[in-house]
Amino acid sequence: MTRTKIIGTLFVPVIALSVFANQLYRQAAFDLSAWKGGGMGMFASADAPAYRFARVIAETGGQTIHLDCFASDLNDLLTSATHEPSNRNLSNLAQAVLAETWHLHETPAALAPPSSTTASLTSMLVQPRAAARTCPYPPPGGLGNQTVRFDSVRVVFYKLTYDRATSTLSATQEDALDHVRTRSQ
Amino acid sequence: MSEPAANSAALESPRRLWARFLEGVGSRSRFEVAAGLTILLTLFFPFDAWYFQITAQLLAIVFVLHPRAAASPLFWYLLALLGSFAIIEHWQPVDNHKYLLVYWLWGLVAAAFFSRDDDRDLILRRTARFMICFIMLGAVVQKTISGSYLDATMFEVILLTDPRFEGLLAVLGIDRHDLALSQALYNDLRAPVPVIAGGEAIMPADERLKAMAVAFTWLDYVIQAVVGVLFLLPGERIERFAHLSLVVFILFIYFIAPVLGFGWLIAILGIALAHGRFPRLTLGYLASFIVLISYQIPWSKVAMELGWLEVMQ
Repeated sequence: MTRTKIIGTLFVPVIALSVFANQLYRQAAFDLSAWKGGGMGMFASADAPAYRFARVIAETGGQTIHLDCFASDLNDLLTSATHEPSNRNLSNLAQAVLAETWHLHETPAALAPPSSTTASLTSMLVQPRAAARTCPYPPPGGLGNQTVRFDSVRVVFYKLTYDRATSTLSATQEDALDHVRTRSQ
Repeated sequence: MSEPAANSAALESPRRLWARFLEGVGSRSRFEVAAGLTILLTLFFPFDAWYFQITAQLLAIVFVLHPRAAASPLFWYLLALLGSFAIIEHWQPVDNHKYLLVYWLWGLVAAAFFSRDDDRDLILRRTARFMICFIMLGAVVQKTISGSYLDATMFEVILLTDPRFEGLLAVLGIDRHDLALSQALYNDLRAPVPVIAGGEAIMPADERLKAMAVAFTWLDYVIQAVVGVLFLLPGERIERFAHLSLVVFILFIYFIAPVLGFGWLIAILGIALAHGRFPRLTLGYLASFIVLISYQIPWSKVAMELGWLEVMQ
């Protein structure tokens, strides 16, 4: 067999096995989900991206606000933070939330979660670029005039774990990261 | 005057049309068949990236007008390069079968570099065989080390919470109200603001659902291990059986988990290996290509509207 044929034959296996090895390494080192990263792990683990999520909690003027309405750039960072919750990815998300200027809206009471306990849900903040389709609570009257920047942000990463014996699905906190606005920000 | 000829073609018996179809598939080279089907795959199940989609659409038009264009490495190089960019751009959320699509596109680039049909065949066959073994045995490795697969946890929680399985479970007699409840609990646990005290919920998993999860777990695991190992072994009889197992895998697995782009890719890999050697199995792969399309029909919804599912429960 000629050298060209050997290269042609080995080309795909070398790429595929390198990506596979990288996926296994990142799974062990950075908790990358087995389902992602080219490791052939779809339907291989209960730790799928659908069972990972992050709660983003911001503070401004002593008020706590839970954020869940992101434009695509922040959504990409949120996806990275949940698929591979490394300190770097969680920190990137927190920093991007702090860097954003947010707009205040009234939340329709009927759409607020039933057992909401905090006053923060009487209003909500959205990114100016977040389209209504990405918002679970669409603002009733277009963009408001009030803008705000946060003093600090907490990103809390959770996994949903399932216990077969008791048929219990639990949200377990795996990691949390705080970011406080600095003078330069 | 072409009218009489056209009329005679229209009146051709189904048997003769079928024979001509077989002749057509058989007379094309392995590379031509794989190339044509891969173009369909990039057209119907592309990357989300706009630059890949537009390029795939333009190249599909070029292919229709001038099929020989697909023999050029540049044709596949463009798709492989743009597919690679699409993965690098969003490597975390991209599904595994998109990685596989890019590997296959690079395999076509490598094959197209050779001008002789025999050489192209060799590269395609080896790439396809490697990829089938890689997909199957890679999945077996992940399932073995995951810690939540072999005890059926993965399938049980997926069946309870993933709406894609709702139709199948309804057909199998699982109470739709239980499924709606488990999906609502799942959504509440993930809510941006905690709405379930203690962050725990008991899911309505009855014994039948648990048994189904165990059955799906072992069927999926065993069939992947068998297909992966069979394609590693030498011998024509073993290979024939390997292809048969792969066709069964495609028809069974993608009925349960309808990731059609993945199913199509595996069928193309099978065709790239079987073409010219196992004509009936090649047809089996082509048939599975079409059957996978039919999996997009919302059967359970249709059955519910016709009232069949209510009767079954």
